[in-house]
Amino acid sequence: MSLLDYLVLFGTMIGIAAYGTWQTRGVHSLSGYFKGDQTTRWAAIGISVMATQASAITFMSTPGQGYESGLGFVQNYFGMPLALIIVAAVFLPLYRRLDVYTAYEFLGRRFDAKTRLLGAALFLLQRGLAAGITIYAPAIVLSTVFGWRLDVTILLSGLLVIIYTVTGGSRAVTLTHKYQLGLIFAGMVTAFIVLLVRLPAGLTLTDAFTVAGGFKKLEAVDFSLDVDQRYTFWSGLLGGLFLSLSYFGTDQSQVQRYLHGASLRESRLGLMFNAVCKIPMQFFILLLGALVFVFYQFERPPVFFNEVAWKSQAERASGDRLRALAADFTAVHTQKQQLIRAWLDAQHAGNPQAAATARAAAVAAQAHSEAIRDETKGLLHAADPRTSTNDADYVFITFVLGHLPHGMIGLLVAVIFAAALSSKASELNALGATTTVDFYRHVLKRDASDAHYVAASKWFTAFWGLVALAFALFAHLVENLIQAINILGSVFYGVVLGLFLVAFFLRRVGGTAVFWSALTAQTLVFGLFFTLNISYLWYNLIGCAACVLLSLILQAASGARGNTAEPVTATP
Amino acid sequence: MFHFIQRLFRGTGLRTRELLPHGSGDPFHSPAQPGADESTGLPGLPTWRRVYLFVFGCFVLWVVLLVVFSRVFA
Repeated sequence: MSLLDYLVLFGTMIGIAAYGTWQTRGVHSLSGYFKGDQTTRWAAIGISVMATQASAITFMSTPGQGYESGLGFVQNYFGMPLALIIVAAVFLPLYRRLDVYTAYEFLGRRFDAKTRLLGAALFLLQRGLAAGITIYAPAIVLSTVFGWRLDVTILLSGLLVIIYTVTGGSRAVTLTHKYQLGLIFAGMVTAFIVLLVRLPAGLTLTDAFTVAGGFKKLEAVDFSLDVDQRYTFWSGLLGGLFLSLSYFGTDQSQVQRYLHGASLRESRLGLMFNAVCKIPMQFFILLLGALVFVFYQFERPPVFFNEVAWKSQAERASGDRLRALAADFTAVHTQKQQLIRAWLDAQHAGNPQAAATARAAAVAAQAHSEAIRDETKGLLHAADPRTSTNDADYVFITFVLGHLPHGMIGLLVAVIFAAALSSKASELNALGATTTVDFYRHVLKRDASDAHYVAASKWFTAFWGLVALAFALFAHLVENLIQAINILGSVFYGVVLGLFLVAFFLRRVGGTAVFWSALTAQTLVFGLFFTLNISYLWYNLIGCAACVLLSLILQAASGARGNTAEPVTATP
Repeated sequence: MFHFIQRLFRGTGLRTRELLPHGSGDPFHSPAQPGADESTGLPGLPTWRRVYLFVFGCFVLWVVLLVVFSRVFA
């Protein structure tokens, strides 16, 4: 990175944070601090919801997904529009009518205090631990690629987000989201344009799509019922519906975003904006990855995209085999490039037979390239077990670093940081709100002034920010950390969604039945987790189904109509 | 604190009406009240049901376009 890149990176990051802090200074009411006084219009809500969901991983890993596996990952978002319609039609009106600060406050109103605290505790446990990853994941990739110190990268980005989130609360989060998402879109569109310009002369966009399609990178929808297929229309629709309902309906980091709305209409339109825009947005990012794949058919890519890890092993005396594999990879790539040109020439000449023959040979050469890459990954992992064999996260940043002009590199790195900060800010704000409203105000100090609660909120937000920083700083000590956090999320998410589904749809079930059902379902999920060897995504379904079914059984066994709610004094 | 823990595990009657401003209905059981919030303010989409149908239609359109895109360049 040049001085210009650093100027763009620090200028945009610090500029947005400083503007957000300045504009939202002096918030004195809890409603202002956590709900922005409910004055936000639908466009800002829509952007804030989108920015919260789009983490740095979205902009580092998703193009890598498009590069490696094509567009199929877009199917994971097929359930989201339907889930957002359900949230807008069922969840949101009740949240607003009860004028709650947190989703768990709603559980208290619908059931009782203990169910509210259970929902809030499950959220704090799961989201509090995951918060560190939001900072750690991009920091580890960027520090590796640029040779920055990991701890300094984590501390700088973490402290920046803590400062403006603590100072301005939810209003600062929403305000900065606007500029951060604007920066993200500007960066991604810029990368797309540069990529198109950098394609070889004479290669049209249709040619690029033909090449990508020929290597099966453009297969976006798979209607097969094969459960072994990773991404299908059906798994995306059903699994995506379930996960999106949990995330948008019950996760405070999202609920808090749309509770900002000036009215029910503004909140609903903000959600519908996401329901319409999310699939094309993900398609665009994946397509960018597929086009990076096409670009690297004409430009030799690294044999392993984490080049720092490759070099550290290849430069050793024992790196002979790695260097030999790299030479093989170059030879195969040159041969493949000639085959692709022959394929396109035959296509342009209207000779489908020759085009099919050249295409089949190019696909075979690609399979050979992949075999060389796999052997390289195996050697790297054997030499250093800490080296992840998944280099998809490094694909896009390698392209950016190698092929974008200075200034734009800084812009694209700023995109990654902006995405990290935007999702991190929502998480911290939600953790602070839940700790203050559901625990501190509800359990410890009931009759304090608004100013006192705002001060407490700032301390709690800062506390969670420091917890996340500490977790990120020591994250490298835990192997497969990201997967561990995903597992942790799946272990808790199902039961939390079960609590809310009972609250919304099973009116006869009361607080005591649902509370003990949730605890039993959570124990069951823990038990299955330690005894079975199934995909962790199933625990979402098992936890939710167990909570709902046990609630019905317990309520029927108790015989009483069990709708209970906190007395009015329980929720100041 | 002790009283709070006691109350946690004590069954309380349904008093949702108490939680609302005076004169409001039961928020859990009453249908959405028609009012200012119920107006979508969108030309051609006067009700929320139509907005949801429009969003669902967009979803179907995206899927169809993705299928066509995949087939054209397969």
